[in-house]
Amino acid sequence: MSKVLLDVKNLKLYFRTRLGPVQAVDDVSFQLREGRTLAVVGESGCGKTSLAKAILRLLPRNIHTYSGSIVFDGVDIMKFDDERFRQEIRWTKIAMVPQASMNSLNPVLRIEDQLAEPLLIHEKLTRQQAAARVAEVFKIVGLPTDFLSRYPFELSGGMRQRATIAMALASNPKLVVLDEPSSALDLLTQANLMNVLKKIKQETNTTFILITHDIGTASELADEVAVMYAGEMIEYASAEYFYTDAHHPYSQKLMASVPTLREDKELGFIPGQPPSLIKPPTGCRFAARCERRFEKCSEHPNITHMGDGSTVQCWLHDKTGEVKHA
Amino acid sequence: MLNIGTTQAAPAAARSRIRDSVSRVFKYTAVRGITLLVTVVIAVYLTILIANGGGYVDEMRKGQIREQVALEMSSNPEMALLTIQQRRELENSLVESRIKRAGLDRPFFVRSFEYLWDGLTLNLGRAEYLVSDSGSRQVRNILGERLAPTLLLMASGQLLLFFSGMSIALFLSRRYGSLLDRIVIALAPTSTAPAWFYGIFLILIFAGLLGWLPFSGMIDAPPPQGFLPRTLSILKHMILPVGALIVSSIFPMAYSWRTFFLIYSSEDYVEMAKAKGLSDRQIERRYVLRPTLPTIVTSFALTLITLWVGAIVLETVFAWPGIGRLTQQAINMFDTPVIVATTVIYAYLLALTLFLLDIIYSLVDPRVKLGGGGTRS
Repeated sequence: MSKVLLDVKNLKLYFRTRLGPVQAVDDVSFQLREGRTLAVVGESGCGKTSLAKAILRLLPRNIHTYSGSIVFDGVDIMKFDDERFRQEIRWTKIAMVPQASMNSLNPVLRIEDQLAEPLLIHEKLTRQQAAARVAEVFKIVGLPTDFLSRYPFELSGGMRQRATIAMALASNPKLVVLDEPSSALDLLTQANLMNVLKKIKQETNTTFILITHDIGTASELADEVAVMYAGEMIEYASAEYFYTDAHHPYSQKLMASVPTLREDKELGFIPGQPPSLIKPPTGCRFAARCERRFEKCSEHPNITHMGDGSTVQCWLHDKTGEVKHA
Repeated sequence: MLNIGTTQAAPAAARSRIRDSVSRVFKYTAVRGITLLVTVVIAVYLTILIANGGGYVDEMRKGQIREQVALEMSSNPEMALLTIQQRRELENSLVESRIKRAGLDRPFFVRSFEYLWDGLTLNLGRAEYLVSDSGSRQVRNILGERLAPTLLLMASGQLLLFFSGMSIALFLSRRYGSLLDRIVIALAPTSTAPAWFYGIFLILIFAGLLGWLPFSGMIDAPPPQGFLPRTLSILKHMILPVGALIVSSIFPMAYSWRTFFLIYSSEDYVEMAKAKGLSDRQIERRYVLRPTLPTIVTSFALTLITLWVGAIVLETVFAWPGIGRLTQQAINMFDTPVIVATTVIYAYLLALTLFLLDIIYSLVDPRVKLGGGGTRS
């Protein structure tokens, strides 16, 4: 087993609003080993993107709470001050492909200059060295190098997205956070992109965190799967178990809602809405929509370690509580 | 691991990139220059049409000539010797030759283009009443004397306005919602009054009440000797008019530009730049300021138009010996050639300013292309 690259403990990220703090990421803990890919899945607004931003410390102005520990490569990077974090972590160790990454290129700078920028700043490469490296990653993501001297508006959406991925790979980071890299693309381009990512994963030893609401696409890449619901990470499992045998009722429902090719099944759905993150229920946050709730669910569930190495936050599996199957 | 081929190709690629940008900017400015020139031509032609009442002034002048000839003849005792028939023939031939001398025999349409050419080349002959400081009656000489002070005043005012506006806007965008920010927003409606209005108050306070600065004019009388004392004297006289220009436009400008900066700093690529580990300064310069510049240049161009329009009264208030003051004097004395000349000069100056801004625009925004290629990403 490879070593643990990322160890997140009790990570909290609350935003200040007029109505009270929004608990976007609430007490999230997980470990990720080097070279593995973690898929973070969940509905819109469950805190997936906030988790990514919390890891890279890309925080808006209205921060209420930002606490916990993030041990990356053996060092607690939460203790770094902003300047050290900028110089030592951002892009050199952890890179990111943001949501709607087609808009993440500066319209008035040439693509090459934008890709080379972090190399010039962090690694102090010469312009020519940086240009060579940039051309190299451009080939990896499958873009012709003559596009390098163009401006972003001259590229299609899919090309820009791949250019952004190339930008994330250029500095050889240990961890790349992909925030819905394919959500705005058509199916063909999506499949293409997934193949590119798969190839990169096989060829390099890069660790990925793939944030997506598309569980089906995530299965192509994922080694582990984390399910987020209302700011909490309610299940964390290795992909081989998760896709066949998820533990949490929410995860099961989520899996039932994914259409499959070979089986003829009726798609499931979950009635109701996720709770507000401003004053979430004190008990299990999914209880109101859960078919298998019982009295215990009005208390906050503990994290239970299951036999297959996964963790789940549900009273149904907590041996210390009363287990009652519906 | 590094690809050698691309390393060697890099300088050649850079050279071709520069060639691309140069040809893009050149083409753009050439077309913009021609467009602006056409605009100026149309503006001057319209002025000529309006000033001549669409040719009706010709009829008035012909009538005037006829009346004058009739008057001259009736007051001439020799005319009594001629028969009515002879008198009428003489009168007609006199009127005709005078109309011909005034050039009124050819159709107005043809002559309007001659006027246009004379106007555009500032070949405006002699002023009717105004005299240049060197004693010349040539409109061109009068204008030439007045052009430099106007350029000095307006160019320094506009440049100062642009750079101070931009740095204030950047500063405010960094701390929006602060007290200073709210003060600037509250002061934004000051732009409803023109620069000369503030000029009067500035003169009252700094010249009248405090006596720190001169009331008006461009240089002390008598002018000091030597380059440095001269320059200092001119600078001292410039403070109030330039100050009035700035006070009249800076607040709404800083307010709107700060808003542009705020809008552009919430773009995805700004957050991406942060994730890339760029320092705040680098982000501000390359990811906020640069993408916002085209918008700012456009908004500045609009501000400049109003500034040029206000220059006539501003120069008059400060007795600044420029084109604006000349216009006012010419209007007072009904000196038509000078009025036409100043109108043409203003059209040229405004077009020139916009042209320069257009060149800057095409330099800062690579998306600007000709032929509807301005696709925005």
